[in-house]
Amino acid sequence: MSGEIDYPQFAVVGHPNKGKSSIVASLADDNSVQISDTPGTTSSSRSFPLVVDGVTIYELFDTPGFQRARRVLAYLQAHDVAAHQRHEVVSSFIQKYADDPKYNDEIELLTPIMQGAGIIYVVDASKPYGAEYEAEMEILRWSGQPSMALINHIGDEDYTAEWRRALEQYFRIVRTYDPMRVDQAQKIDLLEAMAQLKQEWSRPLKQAINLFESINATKLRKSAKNIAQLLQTSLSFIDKTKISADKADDKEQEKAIDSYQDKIRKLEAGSQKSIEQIYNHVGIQKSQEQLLLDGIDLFSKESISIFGLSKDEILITGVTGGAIAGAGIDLLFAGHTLLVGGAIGAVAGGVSAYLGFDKISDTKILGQKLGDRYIVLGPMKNINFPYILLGRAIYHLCIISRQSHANRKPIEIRMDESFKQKWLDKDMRKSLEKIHKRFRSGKEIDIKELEQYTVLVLECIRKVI
Amino acid sequence: MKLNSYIDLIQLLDNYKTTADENRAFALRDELQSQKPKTMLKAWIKEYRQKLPSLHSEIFCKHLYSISLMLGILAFLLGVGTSMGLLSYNGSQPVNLIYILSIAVFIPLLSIILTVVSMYRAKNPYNILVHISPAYWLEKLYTKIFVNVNPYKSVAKIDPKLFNWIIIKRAQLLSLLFSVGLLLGFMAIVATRDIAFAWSTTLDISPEQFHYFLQLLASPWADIAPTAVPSVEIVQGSQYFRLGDRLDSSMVSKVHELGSWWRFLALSIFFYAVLLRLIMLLISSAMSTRVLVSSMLGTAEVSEILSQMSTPTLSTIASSSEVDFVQDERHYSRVRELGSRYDATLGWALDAKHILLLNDRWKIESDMSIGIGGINSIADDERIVADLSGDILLYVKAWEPPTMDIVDMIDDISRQSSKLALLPIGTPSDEYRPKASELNIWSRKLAQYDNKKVWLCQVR
Repeated sequence: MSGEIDYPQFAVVGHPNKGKSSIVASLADDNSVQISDTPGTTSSSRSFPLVVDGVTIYELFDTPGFQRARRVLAYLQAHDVAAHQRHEVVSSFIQKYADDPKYNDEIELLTPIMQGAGIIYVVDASKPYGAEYEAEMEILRWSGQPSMALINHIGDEDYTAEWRRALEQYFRIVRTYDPMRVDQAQKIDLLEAMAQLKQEWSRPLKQAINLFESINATKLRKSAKNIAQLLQTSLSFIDKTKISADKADDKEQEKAIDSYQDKIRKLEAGSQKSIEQIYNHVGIQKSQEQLLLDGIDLFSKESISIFGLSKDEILITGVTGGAIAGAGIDLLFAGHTLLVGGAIGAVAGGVSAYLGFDKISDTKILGQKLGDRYIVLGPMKNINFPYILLGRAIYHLCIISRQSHANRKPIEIRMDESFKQKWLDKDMRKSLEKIHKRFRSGKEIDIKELEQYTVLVLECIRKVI
Repeated sequence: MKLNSYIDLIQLLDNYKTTADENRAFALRDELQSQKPKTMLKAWIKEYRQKLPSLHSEIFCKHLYSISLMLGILAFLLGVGTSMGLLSYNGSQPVNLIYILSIAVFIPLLSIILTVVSMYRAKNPYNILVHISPAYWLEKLYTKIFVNVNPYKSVAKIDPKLFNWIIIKRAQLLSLLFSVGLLLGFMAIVATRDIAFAWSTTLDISPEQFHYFLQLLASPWADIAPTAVPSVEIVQGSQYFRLGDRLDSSMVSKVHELGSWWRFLALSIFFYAVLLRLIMLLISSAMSTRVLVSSMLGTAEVSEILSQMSTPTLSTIASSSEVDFVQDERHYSRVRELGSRYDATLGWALDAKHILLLNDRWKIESDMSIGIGGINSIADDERIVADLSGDILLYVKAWEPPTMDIVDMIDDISRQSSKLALLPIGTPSDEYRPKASELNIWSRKLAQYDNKKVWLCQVR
């Protein structure tokens, strides 16, 4: 029963409740796969093809567990055939019992195998080896398909040694794989092992490995860019809170600080959400200590604006307005004034705008002052703050990038003090500080500077991931 | 890349969203995925601008062309008019070439210096030198009036740095047209009328000093046209004083020499007003194109589009949706404490030795202890079951979920026996006590079949 499919297929099979769906979820980076500790959660085979630019590279099948393995084996063993014909007996079983609900699960798991899928047999080595598994392993051997075993550890005990001794008698390759704690390197290892099952599968799986590595690098770069943007925005962030008098009272100061803090936290939350989206962990539940700005001196000053324009903006407007008026005079004299009119106008406009600003702002119309009063917080002058924010962002990225899609438990993000030492040394601090100064200055940041900063952030990330 | 591409891009980013898959498919179709970002973006704009119902760029560029043409003609005519004004000569007094040099050389030089400074500061959105330009205010006014008119919504989003360069470039173009008008006007008048040039100033400058100054001015082009540089004698003979309001008779006799200044003046105007301005125009064109490209490539949305075009789309999601699993929460009601005596004790996938150990552990007495399931064949088990009767205890591994194989066996045993007690056991490290979660799984499974002869046992 071989189809005309030219890409590798793998059926993840085994006893119920041994982590087959978790393994598929972790390999497919898909947290929509139903995972439960109740056996029978998977009732039919589902395919998870890896499709790149519309082309399928390989296909994984999540299958239901064996339910009546001994009866199936009894059927197979009733046919006295040579080894090279055994796969035909398995196919005949599928044909005979295709519509029999009693063997639904076996049909579901054997069909992709007999269509050419390689076998990935999953066991839980946190429990003792049981002879009841041998019927399943024997059935799989009858299929004649290349096969490997994955040793999972759901509980805390370890019976790996006895499992290995048994599995190595039935399977070409035996690997340990924990879908809850697997990282990118381990996933790549598994794909490399799968590539060894059949020669023709080596190339497409190597292509998949290269692709995953390149995508992983892209994800890291995107995350670094996101973090760099967070730092730039946070450090240059200015928050204005309206006040009633010329000087802010204690209550107004507190309100301003709360507003500033809240907005910085929102920026951090937004950045974390974007990174979670990059790693396809949308909606992940997490608990994390809130970013605290207590004890950080937030640079603040009172300021005035007229019609939303700051003193600098009014000055520019005054200068250019004066220049236009003066240029009009130059035109009248057909340029004989040699643009002196324009120059005088610019100076006059600028000076009057500058000197008159405070007076204008104090002028009242209908009892309201023309100028609005604000307390201005930011840009963040505290030198340590960027390293606190950067440390939190990098730590969050570490956790998210390592989080398996099979693991559905809420995650705890608790950074310890020693984490900073892993990514921040004296030279890195010097390089980062140069750019932090630019961020704090409030001046517009060149795109090249931001790219430079992103490269530094990526360097920090690579030290810990 | 031109300004219309930039406006198209703004309009597309505002009104037409493409997905990652679409962008990647487009890149693959046109084999763009490994091209330079500029090439990819250009192709993307060209492809998707066709989807827009109307192009703001076409309307805006048409308006801009009209304004530029109008201003350009005006500048040219102003140049011609200026040269006519400068060369107005009624025959009674010569034309003061210092005046011509001021207007046609020094002022352009000064404005070129200001242009260089404004170019240097062009990256600052608040650039006074740019804001002084009438062209800036005309375009600002135009945009303000038409801000709610379609093309200008997109134009209003142009990067301020780019806007500065557009103004600088526009100013160079207009200045160049003025200078060309000035030069052509100058040449036309010199060709059609006889003009006598002289130099006149209150400053105490000797002819030799003035000659040196002229040589300095002529230094960029003196090697190409050495005869255009007036000699010391011509300079000496050209000095003019207005007192008396009459021409010096010696000057009248050398009128031919006075006229020969035209070559020097023409080349000075050409070099300082036209050529330098042309160079400034080329520089500002190149810089505005560069800033245009960097503005286009510098936005976050464009980076995302280019990234989507270069990154393979990867999908690992299931090809079909999963049947929602609904857990049956019923628990088995027939639960009793483990007894001390049974007619037979069986162990599912356990050998006889293990069963005896468990009997000893739970202080069970039984007449027969035998393993079923495991490596036993169906036929073996059928033979064992056929011999069973009375009260049976069946040990099962609590950590192994009940498969249909076990359920079938429970069914078969219960038909033979008067009572079947099922005891899930834990691992040796748990002293054979099952975990609560494991017991729940067994309880829920048994509840689905509700066999009245089967009892779920709890250990003492």
